[in-house]
Amino acid sequence: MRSVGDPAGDGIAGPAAAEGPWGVGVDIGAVRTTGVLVDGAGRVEVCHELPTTAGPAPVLEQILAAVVAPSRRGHVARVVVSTSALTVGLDSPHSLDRVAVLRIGAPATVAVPPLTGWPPDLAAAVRGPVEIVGGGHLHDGTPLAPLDAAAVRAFALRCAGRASAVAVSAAGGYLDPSHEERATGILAEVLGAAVPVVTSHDLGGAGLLERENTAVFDAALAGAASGCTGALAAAVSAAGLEADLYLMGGAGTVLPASRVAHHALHTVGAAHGSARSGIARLLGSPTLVVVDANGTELLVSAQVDGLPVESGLFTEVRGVRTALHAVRVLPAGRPSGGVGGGRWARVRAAVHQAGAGLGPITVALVGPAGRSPAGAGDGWVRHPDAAVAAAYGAATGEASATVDRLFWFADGSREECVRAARRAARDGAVRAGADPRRVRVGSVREMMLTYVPMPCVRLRVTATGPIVAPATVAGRYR
Amino acid sequence: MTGSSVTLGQLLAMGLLRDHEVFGGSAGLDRPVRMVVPGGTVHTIEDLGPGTVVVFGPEQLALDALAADLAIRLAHGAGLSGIIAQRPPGPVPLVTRRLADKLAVPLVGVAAVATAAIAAIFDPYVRAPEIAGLRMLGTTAQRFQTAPVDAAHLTRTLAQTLGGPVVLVDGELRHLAGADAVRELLDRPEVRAHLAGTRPSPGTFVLDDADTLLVHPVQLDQNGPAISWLATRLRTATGALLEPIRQSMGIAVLAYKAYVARATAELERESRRRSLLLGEILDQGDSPSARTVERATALGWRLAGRHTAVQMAVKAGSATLRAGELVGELEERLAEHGHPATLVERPDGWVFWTTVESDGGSTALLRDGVRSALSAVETAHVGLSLCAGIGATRSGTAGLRQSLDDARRACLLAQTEDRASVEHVDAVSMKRLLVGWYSSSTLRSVAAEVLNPLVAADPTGELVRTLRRYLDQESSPTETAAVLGVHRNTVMQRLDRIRALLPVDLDDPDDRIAVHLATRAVGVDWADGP
Repeated sequence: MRSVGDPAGDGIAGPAAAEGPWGVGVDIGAVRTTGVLVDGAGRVEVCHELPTTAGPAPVLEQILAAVVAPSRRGHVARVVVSTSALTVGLDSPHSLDRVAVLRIGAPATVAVPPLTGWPPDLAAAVRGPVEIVGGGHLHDGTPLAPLDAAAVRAFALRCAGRASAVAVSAAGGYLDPSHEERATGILAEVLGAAVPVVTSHDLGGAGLLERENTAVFDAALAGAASGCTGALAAAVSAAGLEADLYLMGGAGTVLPASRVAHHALHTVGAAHGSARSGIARLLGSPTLVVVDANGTELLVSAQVDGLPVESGLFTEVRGVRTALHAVRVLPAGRPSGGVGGGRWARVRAAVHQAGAGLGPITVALVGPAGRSPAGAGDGWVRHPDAAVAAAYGAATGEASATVDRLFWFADGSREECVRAARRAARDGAVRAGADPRRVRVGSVREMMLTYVPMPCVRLRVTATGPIVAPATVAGRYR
Repeated sequence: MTGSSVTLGQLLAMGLLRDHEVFGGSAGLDRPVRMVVPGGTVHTIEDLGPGTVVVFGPEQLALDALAADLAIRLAHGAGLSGIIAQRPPGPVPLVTRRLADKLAVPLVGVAAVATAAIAAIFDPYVRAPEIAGLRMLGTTAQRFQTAPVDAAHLTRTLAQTLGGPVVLVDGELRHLAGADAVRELLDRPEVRAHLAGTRPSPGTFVLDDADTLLVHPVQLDQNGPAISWLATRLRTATGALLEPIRQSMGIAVLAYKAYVARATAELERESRRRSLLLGEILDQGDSPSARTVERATALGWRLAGRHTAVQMAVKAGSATLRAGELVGELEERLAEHGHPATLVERPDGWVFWTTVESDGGSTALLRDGVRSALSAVETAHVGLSLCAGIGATRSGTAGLRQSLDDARRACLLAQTEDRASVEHVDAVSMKRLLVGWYSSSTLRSVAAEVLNPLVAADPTGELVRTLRRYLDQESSPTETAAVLGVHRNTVMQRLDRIRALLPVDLDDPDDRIAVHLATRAVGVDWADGP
């Protein structure tokens, strides 16, 4: 067990170490699991590695025992886990839950019913009762039709005993969530708390189909995801910590465990995402290209000002489009072994492509020691802690929210729309667990829509902030 | 947290908000409150300063909606001291309660919220916390304008005013009135040490769970001991209310002292009346005036019949017991042990008497009852020592006077003994006095010493016998000769010889008494002589 802020190696931090509550980050990979303990200033206090020989919860307990000394337990405010355990069901459709799909959009949207375009085996595995009811909103916020509550109730009664979860999506739901919320209320009343109801109104910037597909996937995974997060939370308690549990997402940001239970797709790509944001913070360089040798394949992606460079496409699962923006990740062959010009050329090409248009940029290597491709380019940086970059990214992960939607300034002004967008992003980040005093709102990206007759603009803004600590732990630092 | 601000917990405890419920974040109830303001939208929370409590109407914040979580998080970020909102028709979601607990933001639901009204209710107490204290002092002063009717009334009224449990204990920490739970707190070592201190003074003690215990002594005399202690327990962190509560206790103690003084004065007045009446009865002898008889009958005293008087006195007193209290306790204990009585004060103790119609009945029952009663009172007060004397049973008013005299003498005798003693007058005959003396070996050896020359000179003991009869007959040779049956000259001759042999001077009164006793100590034989 090697320790950076612990030169004597006796597990006791030096005098300048603790400034504010500490955090633990754990990266549970397929082969190895790494964990780090960071102090309030983001310095690595302890790190540890062990082979992944059991399920995520037992492994988490082992890592926590190794990384957190008993005397420090009261000082750890958060445990952030990067794992793909919540979405394993996507690879084996028979393990997915049966989902009831409710779309609120009649009389519109009936031409393309839910689950259209899904691979047959996947659709067959998840399809439960499906219904399109009246309601929803138009692109300018006016209601399409009043919500057909009676139909929703009838649908709920039909679902009882025939579906393990319900996915609810409304046309224009990201503009006005009221119909989705009311429908959720009726479903909860009829079906009780045991049946999770997943909504799609906080997935802005995408069309109804993408949002609906995401809700269906999330609902199909909700049962397994709840079980997994419950087991992880139990492991945290068993380790004697009062910390909150968070899970890493593909963009390198965190979600509270309770939210992740209903939004399992958020964790797709978490391993690479946390490695990227982790090495960026270790190097202190928010703009960089990352060459990730952690997995079975080399992955290359870039980050600009703390935000991942996106491919402009949506993440697809078995060809089904979801509402999650895909990070631009370039595969670059096998990580280890062999020399050969062909291999090197492929890696360098990927790096060049990732950094295109960004000017001179740092290229960082992450992955276990001895795995970095031999003959790496000049100037490619390998930080001493690169082997635990993913765990570090989890430990220092921040909560964020992105607003991506149309704003109409027919009766307002553009500035007001910008303000509203920024506020909505801030609220979302706070709801995701960020400390309201330290939320940073990024720049607002604007896309004019000239083909629409009314003055409107599509605004996209992301807010990010460090996670707030529970009062019991924070109180020890007052 | 300074002492000059109130906490949300204290504001809620004042009872100004009817029907409220704390849904979560109770760990934050002891944060100081700077102001209470009506809120606008949820986002206006971020513009509020730390220490604010914000009040939301039902349209602005619904506690069972998602917006509640955002409000709690923003309130935590802004350092607010609490959120007050309308209680929702359904249950507040567990997630929301847990979030409030996790971030320690108090979430208070009220049945009907008029935001401006609530802010206005709390505002004076928040801006000037002394006002909350003044309100409490005002209420206390008003309620204690008249002295309480008894100790239970005192503790009940004070508990209502302070909003916490109150107990009154006596000088030895025995419960007099109020909450037993607070009485148990007095057993802690640091509290006991303070209560046992030489100069009683008010004290403050912090308990384990941030509650506070306040104690206040009741002293009739400023430099005297504490006859009672008043104690109360305060919930939640103290702060601005500590001093007003202490002062309220002082007011209650003043009122209680007035009650005690009045009760004592009444007792003394009553006692004096009885003493005077008894004096009159004894003076008037067998023919008491009609008015005297009337007053005696009114008190339940019987003048005809066979009276047995009992007098009780204090051998050693107890510091914390006042005379008036002692009489009351004695009367109680006597009643418990079968002899209900009203004690009358006399110069050297207290008396009572029992009256029976006809002869019969032994005094053993009376003696045992009195002894038990005295023991009971003694064990209740450390250091107290009592004694009593019982007179002979006699008839009528004259008999009463005699019985009282007997009782006084018997009480005097009882005072010289060690343990809780009750003596009957029959035991007070001189012979009884002397038996004890005679049986002393010291006396006997001295007596033998003194009379040794006589015994040595006349082994038959004739000389000793002559000396004894001579002194018995008060130094009259004629009488002595008559009793002994010899000629007067014989007696004179023997006396000359005795005077020559004895080392003492028979003309000295003290020597004479000593020799007289010696002659009786030697070979005591009650059978001979008158």
